[in-house]
Amino acid sequence: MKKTKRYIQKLGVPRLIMLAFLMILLIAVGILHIPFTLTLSQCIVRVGINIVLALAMLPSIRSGIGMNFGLPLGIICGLLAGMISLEYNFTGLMGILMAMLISIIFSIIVGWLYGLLLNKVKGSEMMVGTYMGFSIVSLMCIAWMILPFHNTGIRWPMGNGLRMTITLEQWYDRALNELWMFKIGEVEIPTGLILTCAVFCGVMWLFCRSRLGIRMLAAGSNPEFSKFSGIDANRQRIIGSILSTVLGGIGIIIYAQGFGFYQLYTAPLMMAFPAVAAVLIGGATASKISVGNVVLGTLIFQSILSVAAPVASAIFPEGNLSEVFRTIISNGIILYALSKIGREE
Amino acid sequence: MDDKSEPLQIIKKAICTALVINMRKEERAMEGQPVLWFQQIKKKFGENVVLDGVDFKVMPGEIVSLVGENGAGKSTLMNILFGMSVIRQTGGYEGTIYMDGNPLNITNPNDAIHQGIGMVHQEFMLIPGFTVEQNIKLNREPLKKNIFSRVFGHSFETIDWDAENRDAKKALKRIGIDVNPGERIEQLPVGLKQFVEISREIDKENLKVLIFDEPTAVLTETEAEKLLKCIKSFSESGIAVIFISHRLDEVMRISDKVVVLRDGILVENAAVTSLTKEKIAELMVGRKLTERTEEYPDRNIKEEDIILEFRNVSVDMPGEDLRGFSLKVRRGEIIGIGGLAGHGKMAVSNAVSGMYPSTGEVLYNGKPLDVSKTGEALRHEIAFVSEDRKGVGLLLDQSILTNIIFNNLSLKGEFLKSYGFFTQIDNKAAKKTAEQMIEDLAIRCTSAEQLAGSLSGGNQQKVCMARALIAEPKLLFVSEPTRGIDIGAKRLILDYLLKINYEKGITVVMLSSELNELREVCDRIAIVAGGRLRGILGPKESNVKYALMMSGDESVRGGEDSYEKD
Amino acid sequence: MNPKRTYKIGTEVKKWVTGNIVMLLFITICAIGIYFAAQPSSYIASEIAIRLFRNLILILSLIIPVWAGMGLNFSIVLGAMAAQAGLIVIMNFDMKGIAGLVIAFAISVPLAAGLGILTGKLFNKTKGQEMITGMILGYFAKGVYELIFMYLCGPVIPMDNPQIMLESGVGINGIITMDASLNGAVDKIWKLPLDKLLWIIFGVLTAFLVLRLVYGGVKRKQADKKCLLLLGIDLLLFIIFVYAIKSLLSFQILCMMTQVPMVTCFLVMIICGFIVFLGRTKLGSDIKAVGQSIPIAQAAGIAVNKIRIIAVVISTVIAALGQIIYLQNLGTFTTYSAHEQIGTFSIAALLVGGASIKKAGIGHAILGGVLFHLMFIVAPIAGKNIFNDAQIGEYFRVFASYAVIALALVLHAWRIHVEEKRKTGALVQIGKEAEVK
Repeated sequence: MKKTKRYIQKLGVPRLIMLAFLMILLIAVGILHIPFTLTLSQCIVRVGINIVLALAMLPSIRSGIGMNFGLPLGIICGLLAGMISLEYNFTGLMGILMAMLISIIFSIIVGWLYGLLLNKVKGSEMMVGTYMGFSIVSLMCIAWMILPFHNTGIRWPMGNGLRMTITLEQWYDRALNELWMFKIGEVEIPTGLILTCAVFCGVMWLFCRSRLGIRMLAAGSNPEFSKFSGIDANRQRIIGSILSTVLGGIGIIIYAQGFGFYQLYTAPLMMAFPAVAAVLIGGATASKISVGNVVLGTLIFQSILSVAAPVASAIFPEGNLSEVFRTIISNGIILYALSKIGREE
Repeated sequence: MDDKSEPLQIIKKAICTALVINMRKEERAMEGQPVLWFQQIKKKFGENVVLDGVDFKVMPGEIVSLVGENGAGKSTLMNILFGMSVIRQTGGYEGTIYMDGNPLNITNPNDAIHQGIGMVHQEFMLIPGFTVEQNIKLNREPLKKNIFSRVFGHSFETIDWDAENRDAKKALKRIGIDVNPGERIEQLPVGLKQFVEISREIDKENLKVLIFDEPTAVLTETEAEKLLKCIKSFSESGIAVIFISHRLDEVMRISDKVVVLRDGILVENAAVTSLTKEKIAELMVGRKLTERTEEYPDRNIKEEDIILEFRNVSVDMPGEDLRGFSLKVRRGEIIGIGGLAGHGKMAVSNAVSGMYPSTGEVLYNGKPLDVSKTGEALRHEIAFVSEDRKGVGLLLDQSILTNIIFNNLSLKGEFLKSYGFFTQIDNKAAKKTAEQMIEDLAIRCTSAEQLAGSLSGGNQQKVCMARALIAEPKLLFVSEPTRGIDIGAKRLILDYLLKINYEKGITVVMLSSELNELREVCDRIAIVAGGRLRGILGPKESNVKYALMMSGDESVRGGEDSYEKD
Repeated sequence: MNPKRTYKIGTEVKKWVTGNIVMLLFITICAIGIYFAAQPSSYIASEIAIRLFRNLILILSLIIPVWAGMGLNFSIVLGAMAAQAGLIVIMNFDMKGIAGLVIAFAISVPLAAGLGILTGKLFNKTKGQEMITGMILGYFAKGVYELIFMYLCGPVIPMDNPQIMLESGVGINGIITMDASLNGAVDKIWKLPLDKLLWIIFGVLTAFLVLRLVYGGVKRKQADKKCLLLLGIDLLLFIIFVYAIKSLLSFQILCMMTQVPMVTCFLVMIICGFIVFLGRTKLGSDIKAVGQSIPIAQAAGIAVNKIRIIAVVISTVIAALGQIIYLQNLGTFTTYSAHEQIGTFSIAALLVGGASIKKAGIGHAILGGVLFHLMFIVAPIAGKNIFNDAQIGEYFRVFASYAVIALALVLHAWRIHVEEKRKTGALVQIGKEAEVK
């Protein structure tokens, strides 16, 4: 009894609520005769394409910046790189790889500048990050209209600029998902996607245990301590910001290939919030996070969303109830985490 | 007393009590009613007894000086009087405070204010963006009724600017300060802010007791002079004053009565006329050495073998400024740096570690040490145990293991396995070392994985020591090693310092506000006061000399000559 | 002991410029926009007047939380939702006209106050992070709002008015159109052309100043001088006005085109009056004290948490009123997104007016309202004229609103950063001075 109590405490109330909610949804799936295998396949893909975006929170929280609400900056880098890869008609895995490589270059520059800015606004990183993200996304709306892209596949057939959504069929639609894909019964296992996620998570896990990772952790959790030990906390924060932006850029490319299209203009505006919510559900706080938190959180959060969608549409055929749930859950968990910051102080 | 004759005992007790009550009545009749009476106040923080039966009275119009070393219990006593939440959260206190003969029941600072107790803080409690008059009348604004306030209540009454201005002017005039009440606080010079605080307290109509907490610390000489005059005038108008100060000259000049605290015990409560400055100093410091558990034979310390030398070092450390500090640390010795809190001794270790910018020269083994960057000293076999355990000493939300091995890992690349272009922490080796240190220092914990933040103060300090020691330093700085930890752990840490000094030949520089522990452990003690090195004393020098040197008294000199003699 | 203060014009100017950089930047953008849009000034002015009265109460609702040190209150979105809930309720019961709007407001007040109390309690748990909390709270509330009106209205909450319900009987229509009696009900009560209004304003102002000079100026000489100066400015403006109305055609057109909604105008003035009045009350003083320093206010015995909750409640209720005025002017609203940008746009407008996270007043709100809507009006046309695409102008104005907030946040955080550095520097300075003595 005591053991379970301690276990519950360790797991935390929010996670219990989420798991209970997931259970209810799964029961509903059973009752409503929704094809379970299809839901499971979708669930695996959703977890896979979202996990790198959530992983972007790891370096930022560990380096002391906190939850990176400026994730859209990284996403923009990824989108820009993606557009360049499409412009030059890179296809298949090569296309994805090229997009990632280009995005890393953009992300390093943007992440570095963003890190410099965040070092000047310590204590307001979340708010500044959010609105920097919003500003850049809306500035990019103009850029998408006037940047000199020529490939007719990505431009509006008539009028100015790039399309709102760009279907990836001719380039690398689901290229990673379908790599070495096999089926267990009816369930599709996207081996390539799972392997990619595993590689990124593994690299971050190794990073956390490396000298640089441990130094970054010290700088993030106690800047004064790290200063005493001869570590420049500001530099660590910049490294954290760069890594987070790089992961954001790569994350959106993986997301887009699994999803089937790139979404430009205002689409990246709110993309930081589900990523933040996912890691918080996984047990991270504004100052503490591990790869385990990211994986667990994305699993729970994306499972809920992918199970909720068919359930919701079975109950309310019109409208998008699962979207409403997503809003409530993701913002609710962020509010919960914010109220905890206050108590710590 | 005889155990068998119980009834007799009861009668005896009754008579005694009656007599005591009678005596007290007589006392009262003789001296008049005390405005404030601290009766047998006791307070413990965990195992630490910080106040032990403190008992004294304050009469109306009397100026009582409360003196004692840092940690003697002055601020705890004031926290009790003001009903600060710290006291309640740590289990309350014993004893009673009487005001005008009635027991006081104060649960928050507001109660104290309502009872007529005022305080002038060392750090200003003034709102910088408000004007002088707004600050003086804060939350006691004179109000005017209007239509809305009749409907929506008292909060909607408008502030009567004219009355506010009038009151503020009156209060300012009363303490003789010429300042425009419409001026904003942020535009006032520091010295005047203190007087605004006093005006605010004076403006309270029912003010009976006014407490000054080191009021002259931030003032210039002329301002301090004015302040003392001010205090005198209050007492003449019947307000009792409790004056807390380290400046014994001031204490002698203005007090009627002096109360001396030492380690939570009231050691003197007498009229100022029966005391001298030297006597007070002596009483403050006392002498209460505990026995070392082990005596070590003499070490061979050579006067000319210098491991670290400070040459005219000045440090910009807020609240702990140090100017023109020169000192030679001999290889193999334990040298103490003593002085009151806020007088600059802390800057000594912070200059070497590079935490605060400094000028001048620091020589390590005769070669200049780059102290402009943090971490440089650590690379030169110098280790630190910081005074700010929670701030700079520990990673509170990381494991004991990480805390212990961190510097070695970060600076020297130890406890790492290398795989070509990347490295991984060697958990096995780290665990072995951490567990060894846990055993050596008897750190009480469930495992090396326990979070440092969940340890007790003493054990946290041991973790800090462990980190310093696995770096195998030649020179160790320890700052306030026993602050906030219980007696058992204190003893252990001091003994351990002696042990490593003897067995490993580590030179130790120990910075502490507790003179007694310095005198117990150190070979020599340098005293810093008012941001300057005042002199170096042997551990057996007289209390008076120590106390006066620490209060910055110019008449006592140690300095370079006593340094040579030593 | 008296501090000698030396003013240097150069440093003062520099200080003013850095203090108002957001506003100056915005004025520049507006000027460029006006130049390229090349719209008639009378059109722009009349558009501004309409939008200003429509939005000003929402902008004003932000001021009190700034006083309380909670920064820009992103949670006014909750007040807007309360107002929309009120409107939906009255439309469900087919209430009409101004009475309907008054009832809608009466419904939204307790709702807004309740939400304000909850918000305030949450803010008290997240001291120092109120803005991000307010923003996330807005998104969270959006989810709850959608849940209620999209799915619970109908099956759970008995509503069946086909005018506002979807055909399926579940959920409220995505777009709600007010009928003729509600549309602009407040504005319609009494409208005056601008020139008449200006005549009245100058008349009242002059009379007031003259009376004050004659009767009120006895006590203080300084007030006398100020009064005289104001009277001078008043008369000067009056002369300019008379000249313009007689001989400037565009001004005449402007005056004819601009019909000032007097009742809305009075409401705005009442809110302004309330804010000014509050500033002079005990409550206002407490709010400002809490805003300056929580520990000091607490030490002085002010109930900090309670004061902060009150500040949020006032803000949320004013926002609810503002949203009702805003929506009745538009006549139709999108049920699920009308509240979305309210926070962002109102905050951006306030900041453009020269307010900051620490300081805000009625002047900032009015000036900001004018400038911000000026940009809104000219941006699409300017975008079309520069890039040959109106869409770019529209993207630009969204960007400008976000960028203004981002810039203000960065400047604020930066200033704190610099100030902290300076403070430690000052301490060292004090130490050195003591040393010299």
